[in-house]
Amino acid sequence: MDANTSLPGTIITFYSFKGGTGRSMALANVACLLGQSASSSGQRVLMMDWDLEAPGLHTFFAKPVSQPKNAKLPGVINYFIALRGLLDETNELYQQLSGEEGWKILDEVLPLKDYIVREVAPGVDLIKAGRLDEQYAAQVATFKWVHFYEQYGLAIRAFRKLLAAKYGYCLIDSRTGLTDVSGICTMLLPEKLVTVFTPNRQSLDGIVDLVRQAIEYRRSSDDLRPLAVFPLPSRIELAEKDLRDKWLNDYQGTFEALFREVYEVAECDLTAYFNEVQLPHESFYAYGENIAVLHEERSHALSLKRQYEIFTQRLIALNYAWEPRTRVESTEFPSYLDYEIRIQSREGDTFPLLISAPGGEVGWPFRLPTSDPIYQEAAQRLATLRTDEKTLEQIGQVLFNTLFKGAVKDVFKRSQGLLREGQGLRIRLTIAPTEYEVADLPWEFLYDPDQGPLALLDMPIMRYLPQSALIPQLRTELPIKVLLTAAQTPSENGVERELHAVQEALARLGEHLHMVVEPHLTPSKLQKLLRESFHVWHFVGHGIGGEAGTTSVLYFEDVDGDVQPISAAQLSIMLNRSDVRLVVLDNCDSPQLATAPFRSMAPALIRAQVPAVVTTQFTDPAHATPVFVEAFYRALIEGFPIDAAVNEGRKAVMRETGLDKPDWGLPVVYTRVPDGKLFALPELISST
Amino acid sequence: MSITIVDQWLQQAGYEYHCFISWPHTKDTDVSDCAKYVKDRIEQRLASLVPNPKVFIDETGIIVADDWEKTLGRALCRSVAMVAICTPMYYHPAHRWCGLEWATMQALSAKRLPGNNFKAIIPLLARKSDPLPQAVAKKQYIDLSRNLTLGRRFYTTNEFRERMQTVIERIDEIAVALEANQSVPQCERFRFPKESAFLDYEARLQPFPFRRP
Repeated sequence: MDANTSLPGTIITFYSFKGGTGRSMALANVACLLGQSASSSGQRVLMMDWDLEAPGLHTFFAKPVSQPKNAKLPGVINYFIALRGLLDETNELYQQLSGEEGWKILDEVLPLKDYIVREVAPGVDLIKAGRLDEQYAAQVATFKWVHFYEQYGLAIRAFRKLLAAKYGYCLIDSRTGLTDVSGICTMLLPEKLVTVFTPNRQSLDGIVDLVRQAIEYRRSSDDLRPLAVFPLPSRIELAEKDLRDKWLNDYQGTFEALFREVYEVAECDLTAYFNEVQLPHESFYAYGENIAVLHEERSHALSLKRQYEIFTQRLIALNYAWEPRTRVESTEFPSYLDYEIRIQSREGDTFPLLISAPGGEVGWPFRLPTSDPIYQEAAQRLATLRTDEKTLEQIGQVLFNTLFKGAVKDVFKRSQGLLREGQGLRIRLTIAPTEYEVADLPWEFLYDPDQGPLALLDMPIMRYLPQSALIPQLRTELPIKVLLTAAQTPSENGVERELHAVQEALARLGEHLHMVVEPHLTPSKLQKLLRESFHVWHFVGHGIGGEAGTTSVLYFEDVDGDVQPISAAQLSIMLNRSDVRLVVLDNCDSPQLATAPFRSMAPALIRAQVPAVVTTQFTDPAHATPVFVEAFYRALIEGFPIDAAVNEGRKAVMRETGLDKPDWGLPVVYTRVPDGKLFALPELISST
Repeated sequence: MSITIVDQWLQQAGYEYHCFISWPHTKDTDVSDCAKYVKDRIEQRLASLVPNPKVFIDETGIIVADDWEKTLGRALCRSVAMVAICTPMYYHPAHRWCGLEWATMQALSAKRLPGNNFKAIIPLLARKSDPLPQAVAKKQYIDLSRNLTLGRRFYTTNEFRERMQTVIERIDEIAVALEANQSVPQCERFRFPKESAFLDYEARLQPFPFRRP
């Protein structure tokens, strides 16, 4: 059997019990917003019009839909008529579709692409209800959904998996009421269900009934996907304040009671959710089919566009509607308990190891794993950056098994057992400054044979360099100021490419990050620029390290463009008492593992009162750099501790380059800040 | 917990695992994640009670029929308790190993816990089924089916931890009873059942939405 797989897409159904709630309009707006943000990650959005008796989603996109190549395209009803025809022809096809990977066969025999109106908005495709020709009404009236399901039920499962495989998000516009089609749309297909309602009893009661049945259906099913319900109050009349408040209390209480019952949870508070999520009635949009998020240029506080942005952000970031808001601002931002590992100066063949963690304290002699032949071979491959997944597992497991032995492992397991909701475990590694052999081990690849690579499992690994003088958090406003520099030593494309990749990725972070770029860094330019109170200095270039790191240097340019080595000592003098909170040393285009020079540079910078240093190097910079930079800096903006921010970058890199390349484990975090929090930033409303 | 006291005896008696996780293998990660979260949580909690907690889980799903007794059957026989991750597919004939694991632990329980009113099987209902097979309906199961419609986030909640604490207490209860009965594994002489425990289960498609079974 293959490794377990999870299809990447999310299916979201928009349902209203009654018509006239603005459901299709809400779906169109959310789709356009998702399309804008999803296109940068290569994911597309699909809208499907399942409101077969009253199709209308296509009218919001009249221009592209009416183009000659699209006007006659078939839709949902045609797809299922064709599928029924194929299934009626042979029993064998249904057996094939019933398998776990039946969706692949389904797409071969009935390609989804033949039904799609491409790019009706940026990043967004559409499947209409049908051709909407003279045969349409009869087709809808005669298709027996219940009969189809009873005969070919698992084909619907294959169809649902096909949607999730092909699209990042699939938004389904459901039929209203309690009908066969609305049952498929709300119970068989989605993992998120948006229930759109206007403030009146009929609309609300109908939804409560539907939700109750939908959750009951899912909990009896073999479909272990969640079914999270997101209520969306719509067409709220702002002028009627008293009525608005009365209804807000009413529907909030109704949904809280409903969710406690159907999900069997003790606590459910929707105050924060409903304080922000509501769509006001705007007369302009009562006429015609305008899409606010495309029509309105500005997203100001009172705009409908802003309301759709707020809702879309919650719909995507939250697992369920009452999830605490802090998780919206920083998608996965647990607090950490420290699993502190202190490795002291060598005593004979071993190094005294002290563990201090929530699960207890223990001492243990640590022995280098470097004499292990398996480790030696794997480390050699890592040094030349020629790895596969197994090599990285071997390195990580040997390190793990060397470190987490006996009582140390017990304390590790006990500490994990003591974590509370929302808490994670941070590996804080303090290595005696003289023990370069230990410091040079690739700790970032630590791999628990029972769990996997720790750094990718939200167990950030921080190399802690304690200093006597504490550095308080810097209280600062956004944007974060980044000085992005490169030294092209000698002039080479690798540095320039990397610089552009970083620059483009940072530009995507918009107004929350201010960047100044210096493509030819000289010492005098750095000295001058450092007076401008940057928070982060990101250096793209090369360096070299001497034995035991004592003479490590970074290569700057001189005024003629030649190489000018700057030693760690020189750099620490230049950075001393600057406002820089974080230095990112980005070593690009090296055929070998070349972070050692940067590693030895890091302690010198920490001594110069720089709170944190991150070193990076990628074997596949074209793919890894943009995703790392974007994810890492986005997390910093959202207030993540430095090690957790790097973990966000690691995960993004792993998704992009896979587990077989070492790129996810190559960034290293050094810090003197015990909790890793470099900035005290104001609360963010939006992180999208 | 009393398992701390009897753990040494369990090991000397030949019990290798504190718990065996039985689950329906599928490529669907929602199911495998459930099994792994349960396994991790049991292991973590046991780590504070016994020096070397061992929980068996077969993550591969690769079973050659003739080898079942030698591999999974052997591990099951040397386990103190079995936690079953129950969904409708768990009882389905296509997942016959699940039914065989249940039948095996049922038979082992009959020998090892003769005077006790509980057995060494702890069913966790990830999804409910209507009706449940007799073998499951008779057991005191832990129903997670409503909570789990919230998805993976449930595994990080205190509610999940509380439910898993109940599992630990049941394992503890079983361990103590094994020691009190002086029931050793005796796997060499054990005759493994040949039939699933869920022969009465009628596998069928879930009814169409809004229709009653």
